[in-house]
Amino acid sequence: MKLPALLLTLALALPAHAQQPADPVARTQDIDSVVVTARKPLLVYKQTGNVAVDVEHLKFAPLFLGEKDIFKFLQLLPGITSGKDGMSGLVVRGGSNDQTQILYDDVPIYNQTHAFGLLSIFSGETVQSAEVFKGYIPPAYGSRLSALTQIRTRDGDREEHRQSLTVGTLSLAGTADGPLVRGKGSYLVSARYFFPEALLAAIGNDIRFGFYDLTGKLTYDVHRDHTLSLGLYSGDDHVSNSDTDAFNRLGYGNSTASLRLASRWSDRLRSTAVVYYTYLQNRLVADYRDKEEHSHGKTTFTTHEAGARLTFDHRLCDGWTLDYGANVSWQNFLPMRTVAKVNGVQTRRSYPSQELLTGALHLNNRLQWGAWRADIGMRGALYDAGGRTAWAVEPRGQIAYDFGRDNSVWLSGTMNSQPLVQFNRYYYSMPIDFWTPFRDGKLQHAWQVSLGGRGRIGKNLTLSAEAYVKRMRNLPMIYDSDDFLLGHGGFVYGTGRVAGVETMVQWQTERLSLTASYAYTHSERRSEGVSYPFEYDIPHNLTAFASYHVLDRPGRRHTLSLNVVWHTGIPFRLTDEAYPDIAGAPIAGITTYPTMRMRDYFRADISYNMERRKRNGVRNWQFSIINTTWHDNPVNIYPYRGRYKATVLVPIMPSVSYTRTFGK
Amino acid sequence: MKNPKTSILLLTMAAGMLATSCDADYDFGKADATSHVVVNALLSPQEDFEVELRWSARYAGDDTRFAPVDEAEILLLEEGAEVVRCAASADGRTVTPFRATAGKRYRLEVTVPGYGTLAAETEVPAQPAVQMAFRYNKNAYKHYEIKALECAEGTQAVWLDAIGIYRRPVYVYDEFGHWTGEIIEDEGEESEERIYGFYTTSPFVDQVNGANDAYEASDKEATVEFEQFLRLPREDCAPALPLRFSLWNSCRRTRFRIVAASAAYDRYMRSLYKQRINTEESADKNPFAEQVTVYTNIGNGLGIFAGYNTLTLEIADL
Repeated sequence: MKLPALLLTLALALPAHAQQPADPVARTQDIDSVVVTARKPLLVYKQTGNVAVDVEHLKFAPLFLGEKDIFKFLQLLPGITSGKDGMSGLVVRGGSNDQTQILYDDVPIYNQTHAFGLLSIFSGETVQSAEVFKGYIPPAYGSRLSALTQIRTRDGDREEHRQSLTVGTLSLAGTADGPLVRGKGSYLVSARYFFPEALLAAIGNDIRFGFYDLTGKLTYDVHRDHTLSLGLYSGDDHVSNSDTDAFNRLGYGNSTASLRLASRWSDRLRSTAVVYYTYLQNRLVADYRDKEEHSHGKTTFTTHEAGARLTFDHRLCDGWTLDYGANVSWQNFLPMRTVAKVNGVQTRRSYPSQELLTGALHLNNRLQWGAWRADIGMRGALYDAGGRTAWAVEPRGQIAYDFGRDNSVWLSGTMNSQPLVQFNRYYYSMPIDFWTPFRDGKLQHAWQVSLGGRGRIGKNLTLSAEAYVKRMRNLPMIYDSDDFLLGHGGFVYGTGRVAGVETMVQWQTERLSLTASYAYTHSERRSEGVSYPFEYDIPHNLTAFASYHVLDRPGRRHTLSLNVVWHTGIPFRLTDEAYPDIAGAPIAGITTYPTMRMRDYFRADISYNMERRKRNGVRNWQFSIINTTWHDNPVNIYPYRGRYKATVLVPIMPSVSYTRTFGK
Repeated sequence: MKNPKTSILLLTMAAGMLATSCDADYDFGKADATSHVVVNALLSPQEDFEVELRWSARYAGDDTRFAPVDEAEILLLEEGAEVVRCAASADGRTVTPFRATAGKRYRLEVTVPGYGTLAAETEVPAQPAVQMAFRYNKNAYKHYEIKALECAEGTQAVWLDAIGIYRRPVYVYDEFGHWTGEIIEDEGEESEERIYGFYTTSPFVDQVNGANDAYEASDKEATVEFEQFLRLPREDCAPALPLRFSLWNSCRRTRFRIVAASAAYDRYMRSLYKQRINTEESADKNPFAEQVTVYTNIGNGLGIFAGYNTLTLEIADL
């Protein structure tokens, strides 16, 4: 079923568009090499609220369910949380998950999860870089209130062919990359499969769960100054239950395709053009067939987006560079399409599809004079949702002053708008994501101001801190997802206020990398005259991650790493009040707004990584324990026979992973 | 296993798979819940109008009891005209002889001295029109088909539930009170049993109570079980036809109750069901459990005032 979708996405992938300050043609990084000459810092606070993660460190980070998951790592950054423990959301500076735009090789991703939220779709085998913009977002990007997360796939090696195989606790992954034409182009193909599904099938189990994903990337220098990249991704999660004549299945998956042309027109002018297509499908299927009867039902929920982005990076003179460009996108949301067939007679029903057209222009001045740096720009966007038009003008700017050796202070202001909202409904107790464009002509709006700085003390110690204030308005607070889905209300508009301080200390030596951060956040929402904490408001959040090369000699390296997280418990909608239903049985006091907080959260993860160069490649063993102290961190509290119980998703989770890489 | 690395791998895999979600007691630590007046009153043309007035209470404890509101005045208005005015019964349950009329709108006002007035409004939809037939037995499962289903204006959704009706067997005794060994089927006292599961592949049925259940799926002709009821949103009533479903019971007759639900009735019953499947035993070890607030339309209090209209069909096993 995925192949036609993939071919379709390929066919739709027209040329043309660019992104950010034209990223000069990226070359392969030797992520599997054990030879590390100089250790790079784990995280870099590049500018205001912008954190870039060195993905090389991902291979030391503790495994979650046996996976190297970049999102689990990003969730440790100050100002970012997962929402519920163990899940793959990115809740940034008091904004909800849908306020974080996730771009995978420039393509928006509408559901970043596998295993119904436990893992992210971004395989550690293919990710080259991850960057989170928590405050200032470059004017080339928009349509989300709180953050931008850029995940980039690495290019294949241009000189040598390499293959790797990873056996995780629950998945198998294989990757191959190498030159298409030596020195001119490369390929990368990676596949991952959740293998317990095959084991369940082998023993004839009726209930099965599985997921897979496929990632591909072709890069080719069509000209000395022009590099073309084709990126493809397809992934799917599915649960099925079957008997002799009957089955049901539910699942969801993303498919994406992008074509990117990075060009250098002169020493002063570069451009990037990208066209992309992204598709999210949720589905439920039930079927019965015998000799006489056949009944079949299928419900699908889909989101499509096709778009293009063109960006120029134009250096006018020393110290003044203009970034400018445009992007357009078309999004189609089909909330529910239901088809039933009884002995050949078909009936169908669809909720009205909703379309969103977006067009945006941006201009940014990058200025540098002496120790001063500044970005002063503007993004203008026009949105049309089913004939309702709204526009947004978003000035964005930041100014920084560099002094001494790697010291800097900065100030930024940014305005963002968001034309769509995500909400969940549950089928068979499993959450399904829905997206829908703005209603009533009302866009969501936010502004944020932040002030920060970074200082280096001595050779190894770096301190950074940033304070921010954010305001949001026209936030749809959905209290009845059925009514909301049908367009019968089910929501009220609200506002959001967030203020916080994030601090980070990094200690970096050849063998030790230590990062500790503390974030204070006050995040609240207000609707219908009531103010209440945001559902993932975490006033105090302390994280630390350290990795130490226990053994570091040519061809061999052993690394011990440790993550520790402590934070205030999240708010929860529960009171100790109960009242009778129409039959006299107690109804639990689950309220509309949070009324309490869960207990404080604590988790310590440990990992040991053993890397060894072999004659024809590298082998890597990794052993991890998530939540080593077996701390009960609830994801849910529920009434149970006159008392309360908590569900703990991640009690203690040991896992192992083995990777064998062939090639240089 | 000769290779120790393989042993480590397999052992760790097993441990990782075992370490899924678990549950632990939780100290709520907050005991100062405020009490509210709870009004529960359903309104239909088939039932006498009853109002239940109670105080909310603390949940935590060995025995949650809801004390009756012993003094209150009840006022019911039909299209703005007073149809019921009475003092509430001291035991909390007030029964009146009033029956609602389909298509009318009602307002309930309850005044509790020292607390204030609680108010809510609802409408009573018209009775649904249904054509339904027994199809066949397949082992222990009875199969039915709804051929026609009309729901009038004011109906938010149609709910179908069922009761199996059977007669107990008669054991024949001799004059000395000894059982003769003879059993006469279907001649004893009539008894009823609630049907707890419905099975269908129809995607138009609301999946709120749907669950995977492949057991005897060939007999059920479905792998999805709908616990306690089938709910069809109004907009799905027509496309859902013909709606085929099965149920398990050992009775010769089945009484179906088809309820045309007002918006208030539908929201309340649906949210109540969703809370039930996300709390108590149903929430056990479920990391995806939802926090569901039960719908209330009672201003200044809790509970529900909602209209509905029921059609009852009794269908015999042929």
